[in-house]
Amino acid sequence: MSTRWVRLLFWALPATVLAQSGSVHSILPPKNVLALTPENFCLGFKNVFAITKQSFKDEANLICPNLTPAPLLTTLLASAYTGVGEPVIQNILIAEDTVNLTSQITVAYALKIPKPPAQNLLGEEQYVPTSYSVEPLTITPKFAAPVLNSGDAETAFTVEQRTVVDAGEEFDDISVHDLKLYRMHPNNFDFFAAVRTLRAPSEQFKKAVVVRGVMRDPANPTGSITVTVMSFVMNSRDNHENSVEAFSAFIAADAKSLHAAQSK
Amino acid sequence: MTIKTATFFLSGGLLVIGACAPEAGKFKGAAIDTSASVVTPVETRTAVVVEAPDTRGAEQVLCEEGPKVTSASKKADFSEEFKLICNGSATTPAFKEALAKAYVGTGTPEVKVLKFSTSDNFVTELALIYAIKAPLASPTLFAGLKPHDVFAPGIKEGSSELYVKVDSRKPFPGKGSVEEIVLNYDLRFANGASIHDIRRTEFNTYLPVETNKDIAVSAEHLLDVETNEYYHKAHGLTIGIKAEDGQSYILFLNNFVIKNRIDLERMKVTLTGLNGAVAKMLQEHLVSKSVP
Repeated sequence: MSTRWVRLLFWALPATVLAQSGSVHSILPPKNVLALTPENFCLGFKNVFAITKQSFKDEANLICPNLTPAPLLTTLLASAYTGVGEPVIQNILIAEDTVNLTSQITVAYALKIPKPPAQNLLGEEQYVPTSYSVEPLTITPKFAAPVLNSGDAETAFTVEQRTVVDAGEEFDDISVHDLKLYRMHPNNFDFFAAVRTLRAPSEQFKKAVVVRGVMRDPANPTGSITVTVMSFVMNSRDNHENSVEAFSAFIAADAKSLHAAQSK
Repeated sequence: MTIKTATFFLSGGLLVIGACAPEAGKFKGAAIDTSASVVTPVETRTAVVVEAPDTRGAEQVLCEEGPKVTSASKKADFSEEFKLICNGSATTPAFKEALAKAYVGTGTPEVKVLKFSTSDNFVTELALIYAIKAPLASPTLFAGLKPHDVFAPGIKEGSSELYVKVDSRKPFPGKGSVEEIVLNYDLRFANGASIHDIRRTEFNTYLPVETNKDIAVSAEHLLDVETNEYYHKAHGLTIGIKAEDGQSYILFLNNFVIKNRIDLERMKVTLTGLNGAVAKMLQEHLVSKSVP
């Protein structure tokens, strides 16, 4: 057999194996093992940004500016809520716009979840239809018919949220949100993201972004850590303090409730 | 001298007669020796070889010949799929159960999960089996009724939607295939979630024994295996088999290896539900096409 034929045979073999092999696992891409570091967590946003149609760079940049860990991320990871006491909510920006009569609340927190990252992410979906009702605020989310996914996320959902604010007079708002789930790195199941964005401004919400990054807990490989950044610009109805107080209470209660749900 | 084969159907049995016959051109030369002054008759021989009739039942033919015809086509390796329905020359209990529970147009089609397991790297093996029974005099008529065209408006079940479009159809493409169909799958909604899940497959139909109209085998394989984000394997066997009452069963076996999906329960529920919808759509289609 000439050298040329040997070379041809050598190159032809993999294709034959691909076509005929009964052992399909042998040609699956190997797991992309990445160190469980904040650096790899932040680098994952690069892959998400590459495909996403959602707008959340400002929020991601708060914890991962230029795809590198911010001191805030380090702080959040170190203070992740484990279910004991109250979650630490880091207020990043609380601001009032007196011209447009809006209140902005931008906060961040982290939760330690006793589940691997994939189960944590799936838990995000299960948690969606969890309602909240503490005077003066009632929030009732539910799934609605999803829109087409053109490959801009792994999985996409439509969430329709009813928000009732009792500010002397009752304001009843329906807002529609996109909830999209992402793998942050190819062939890797240690880093994920779940991002919720407002599809169109509503009477109550002018902006509503919730970015959750999930990574396997380096201190506990069967667990994971969720880092959340949320930013809302809402109708203050010229009552900024009350608006901030009501939604801050919701955010703290929601963080605790999410942890409890994810810990079941 | 070549062997030509004549085939006769005799009261359900198959009699194969092989006759030695000369090739036309050679016969002329051999029959007349023009150099001889006296023309003498050339010895003519007719040997009749009577082969034993093929008394094998359709299921035995399926299990013995099905793997051979699909393997000979060199399209893909379907040995794993045949192992799920055949154990040697006999069909498996799963196969028999699927036929026994074949959807006949009433109630809910029963799609059984034969295999469902996931590795820690989220490689999931999922195999489904189900059958329908329809008034087709021969299962070989199934392909001619263009079953895939039924799916063009979409297959919808609950909050799941799958679109299957025929990209091309080629009759007698060679390698034993009676028909080759290229299909584009687009699973848009999976149990309430919007996913980007597309795949391209090739569907070939074979007659395991050309003269046996009681059994037909179609084998489907993934064409974009090297580039598909979510499927490492999407093999299918569609078995048409004559029923005792003169109707036909069409049995479906789907065998997937899904990768990069963490929501596997969703995929199981979605694919099971959609295949149930497929059973309903096809059964209705076949009933509507059957001649009373």
